[in-house]
Amino acid sequence: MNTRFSWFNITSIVLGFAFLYVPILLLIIYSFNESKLVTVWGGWSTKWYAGLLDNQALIDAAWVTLRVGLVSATIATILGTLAAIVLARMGRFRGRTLFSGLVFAPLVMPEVITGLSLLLLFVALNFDRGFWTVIIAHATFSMCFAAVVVQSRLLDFDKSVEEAAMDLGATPVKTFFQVTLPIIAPAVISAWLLSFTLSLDDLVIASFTTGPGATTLPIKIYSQVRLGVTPEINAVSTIMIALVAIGVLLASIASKRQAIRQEKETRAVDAGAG
Amino acid sequence: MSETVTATQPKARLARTFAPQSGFAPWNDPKKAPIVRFENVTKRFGDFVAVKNVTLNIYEREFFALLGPSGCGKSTLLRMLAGFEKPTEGRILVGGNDITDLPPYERTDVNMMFQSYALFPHMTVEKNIGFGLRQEGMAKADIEARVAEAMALVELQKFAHRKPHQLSGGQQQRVALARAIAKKPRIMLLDEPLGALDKRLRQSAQFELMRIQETTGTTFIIVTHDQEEAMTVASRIGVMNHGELTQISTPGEIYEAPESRYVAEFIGDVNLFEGKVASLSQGMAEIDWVGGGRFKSAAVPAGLSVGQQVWLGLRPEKIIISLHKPAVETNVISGKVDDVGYLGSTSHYHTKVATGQRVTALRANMAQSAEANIKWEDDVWLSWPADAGVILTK
Repeated sequence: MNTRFSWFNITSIVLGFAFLYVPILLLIIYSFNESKLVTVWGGWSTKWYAGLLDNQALIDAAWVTLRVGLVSATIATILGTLAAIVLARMGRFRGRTLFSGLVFAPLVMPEVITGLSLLLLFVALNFDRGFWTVIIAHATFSMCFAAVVVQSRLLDFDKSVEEAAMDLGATPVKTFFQVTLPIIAPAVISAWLLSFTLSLDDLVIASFTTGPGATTLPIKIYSQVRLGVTPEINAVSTIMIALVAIGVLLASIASKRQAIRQEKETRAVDAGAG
Repeated sequence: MSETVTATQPKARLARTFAPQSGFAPWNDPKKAPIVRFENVTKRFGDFVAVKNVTLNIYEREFFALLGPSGCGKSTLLRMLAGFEKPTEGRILVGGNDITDLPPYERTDVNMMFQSYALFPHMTVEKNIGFGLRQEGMAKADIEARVAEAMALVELQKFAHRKPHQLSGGQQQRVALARAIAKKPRIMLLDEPLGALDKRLRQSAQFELMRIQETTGTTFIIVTHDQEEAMTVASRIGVMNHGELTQISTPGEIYEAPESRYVAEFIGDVNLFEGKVASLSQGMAEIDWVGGGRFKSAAVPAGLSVGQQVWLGLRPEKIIISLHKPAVETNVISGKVDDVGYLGSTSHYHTKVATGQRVTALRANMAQSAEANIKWEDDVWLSWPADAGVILTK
């Protein structure tokens, strides 16, 4: 690193990061506020965190969010992967443009419209709104994100690898499970993580499609904030930030470790062969 | 098509061919049944005709090369045999059975080695080579034995537990070969198998391929755009152009007796003299060259007529270049040296002749050469014997 930072660079970096992270930092600091008033600093305390454990409604909401996220991310990943395979592998079939349009339209669709149309559908079908309707809604809108992630991986994937598997006697189904899926696994996993994250922080679509007994955390937080921001909400948010940060950290450590291990392997074999 | 190609006049002239002849020539034996037969195969992609009415027989234990520039349809022909493309018209037979409609995974007689090698990145060398055998449901011990055998054949034992990304290009190429050969197919397809290797490695790999083909007794079909590679490895070469097979012959015949200007120019260097047939007598043709002068040629293709437009094709090494006018009546023209290319063992002399075209003559650089020191701007004489050239009508 012998690139020298000019004052202009330093200033722009500081301003940029400040814009992104100062609000979050404030939220974290105020979650440790002794005072009940959010805007007044009353000294350090962890009492709001302790209080969380007694707030059954909040814990229930977190539990619902987690379950919705797990199930909807799994459904979205499976459907998204299938759509991506069709788009990347089937070549030019009749209606391909329409199909890809339909898959990717929800990416740019205003959430309010997605939510509203799903609500109308559930009402028309006389579906009891609750846990499962939220899952269906989340799977629907995160599926297209999953499809984009998997498709980009499939597009730079050497198609002759699949042909080689078939040439060696593997049926298309075996080729998919023994060759294609292991190779695109990292993309499928990141598609799942993306879908899970989208589901965790979705407020708009969930509030349209939810029903009694299926209040997700964002809905809960939003409804409490309307009555005034409490330090308790800050504490919940801080925990969520911590969880996400830990997750990202673990993922990057794991991938770095794998890279190091691979390099070591290569070196060991080279030494043995040389 | 193959019948007409192999049965024409050039056979008679083969006496002067110095190319090695192994005596292996099942294509001349009418009783021999081909192992692969393309029957009037045409492949269209939309309006584009990739392969145009190809009929081709390939025989057991042959090393057959499909040669042509990129986009000539040679890879498409190979991919149709592997099952990745379906012919628009015609059929493909292997061992007498129609396999046109079989998917690739049911074509057990055929295995392919890909240009990109197409190794499975998540499997070790050993697992890559055993993949095809596991698909057959072979017993574990048998798989291990076959994998060990294949690895020994390409000398990869040391690398059994490596992943493809830990191998060099040459090693990856050998894994790809071993993986296809482990299935013990009757026919091996190789799509530009050495295209990604550097020149030195490619030459040793060519002999490696020939050794493996001989030890396993497998029929090899190779697709390549490299004419030297095709000449080195193949028992027969099929030259393709715009989806059509223009000539199918042994490397020696292709070089010495090309049937068209396209083949003559694609394989090796050639000088073409345009002219008209002036007379035909006793297996000898006289040609009036557009540059003035009359050439005699002993190579007369069937169906040649007086007045017909022809090209006399002459390989550079068959032209004798000299500073003094040789004592011959015909087949001698004058020129001026334009450029000299010194290649160590040989020199190329590019000479401007009456028509303004450049004629290349090649001479071995021997110390005792009687006529040393031909230089730029020298006036020289180019001559050749009557049996040195070929008359090309198309």
